[in-house]
Amino acid sequence: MKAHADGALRADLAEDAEHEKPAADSQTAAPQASNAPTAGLASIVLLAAWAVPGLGHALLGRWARALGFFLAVGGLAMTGYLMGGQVFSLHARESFGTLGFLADAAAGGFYFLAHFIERAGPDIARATGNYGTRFLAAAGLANLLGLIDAVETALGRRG
Amino acid sequence: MHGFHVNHFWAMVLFAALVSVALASLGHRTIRVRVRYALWTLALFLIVAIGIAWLMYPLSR
Repeated sequence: MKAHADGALRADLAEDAEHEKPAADSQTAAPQASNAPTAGLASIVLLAAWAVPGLGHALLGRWARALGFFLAVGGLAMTGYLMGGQVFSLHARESFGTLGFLADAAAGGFYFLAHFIERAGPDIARATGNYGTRFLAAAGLANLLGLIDAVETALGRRG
Repeated sequence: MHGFHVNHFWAMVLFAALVSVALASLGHRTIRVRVRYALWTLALFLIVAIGIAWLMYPLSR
């Protein structure tokens, strides 16, 4: 067990050490030469991180962060659905509904799972359903944090 | 498919645990530091939530 934990830690340290080198090199390289591919990579990472939580970090080789975000966002979203939380649509009638849609939609692929999981619709008459609504919004916001982190990493602004 | 029923306390613990994992995944270098940060964040979530609950208790009576 300890050997396994040490191995995982060493792998993570190696991963981080591997990514420190290109970051240091990019500071000395001409910014014009590195801008185009970095912006392209950042766009791909942006889309990937939104579509599947953690995929943006996975594309950058940050496996531990990718797994952390996938588990956290996926866990929040799936728990929210199982609790019967309300999923807001784009055509909300009120401004809070629009904000709810923005928060929910930030969860990317998990937002679209609502059609398959919550076939019976939300159950917000009970307290559990209300909690579920908050879980779903938190899933989107957590994915937004991960998305920003992945894009910043792709742009070389974060280690 | 709404078979998942939890009480207030366990819903809060589950929420705090998952959000702590998301926050720990940001900006920390090693797994050990991430785990320590997640546990610390979880503990703070629970302590603050239970503290606020006790502060609000007189209002509910």
